[in-house]
Amino acid sequence: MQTEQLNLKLQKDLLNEIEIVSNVLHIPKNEWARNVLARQVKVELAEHKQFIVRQYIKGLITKNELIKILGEKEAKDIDLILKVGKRSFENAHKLSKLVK
Amino acid sequence: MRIVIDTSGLLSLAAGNILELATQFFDFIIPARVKQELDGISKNNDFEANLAKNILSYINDKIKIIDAYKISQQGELGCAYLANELDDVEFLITDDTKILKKLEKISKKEVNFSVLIVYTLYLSGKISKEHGWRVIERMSVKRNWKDNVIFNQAKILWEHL
Repeated sequence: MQTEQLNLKLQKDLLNEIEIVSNVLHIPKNEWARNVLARQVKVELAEHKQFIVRQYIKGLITKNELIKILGEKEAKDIDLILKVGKRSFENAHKLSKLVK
Repeated sequence: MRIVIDTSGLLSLAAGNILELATQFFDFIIPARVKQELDGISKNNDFEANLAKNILSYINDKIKIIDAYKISQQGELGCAYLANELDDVEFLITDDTKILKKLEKISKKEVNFSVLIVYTLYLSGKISKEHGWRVIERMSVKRNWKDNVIFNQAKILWEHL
């Protein structure tokens, strides 16, 4: 896997705390920090993507803006999901007349 | 009314705690592969496993297994083949956004999300608007962010009902 370096200056207290966690877990502190960062980035990325899509559904951002943020493939996938979602909503109106 | 539904759709209805009520108004049909998938999930020790166990308790009684002539190792595709073969089935339900594009291509029946069932129960007066909202809230427990787009959109559409 290709890697790049990210240099961080941390407060001494925080570094001491990381030291304690890494000692308890028997994991080198760099590796622990890498894992925590990777996990948190995934969570935040998902949250931000959700937010952007909500804005798109509400018409607050355009398709072009969505493509710019998420890329063309993701934007296409989102459009398909929204199309099927709208269809499900419309079909419910038909279906509700048949439910006794 | 017969509806073919895959594992992801069943898990959503079970997570929304609406499966029991839904089976009173809809005849859900699955291919055997979906039961196998649920059996597999039920062996884990997490939230989805509990949902799968709950769904399995409805199988044979309220959820029927029918196999299509064309069988797939993927439950979602098996559902599409089954829906294609059954004349009285109008809808195929999935909440699996990863395979949506493929399902749209191969399914001759309209592909819908499980929220179709929640909207329908509300529009036919079987549940209140507040109840439906709570169901959709509970359904959005998916791990994949794209799957959650289904429920984000549903919440926005729900406000317009």
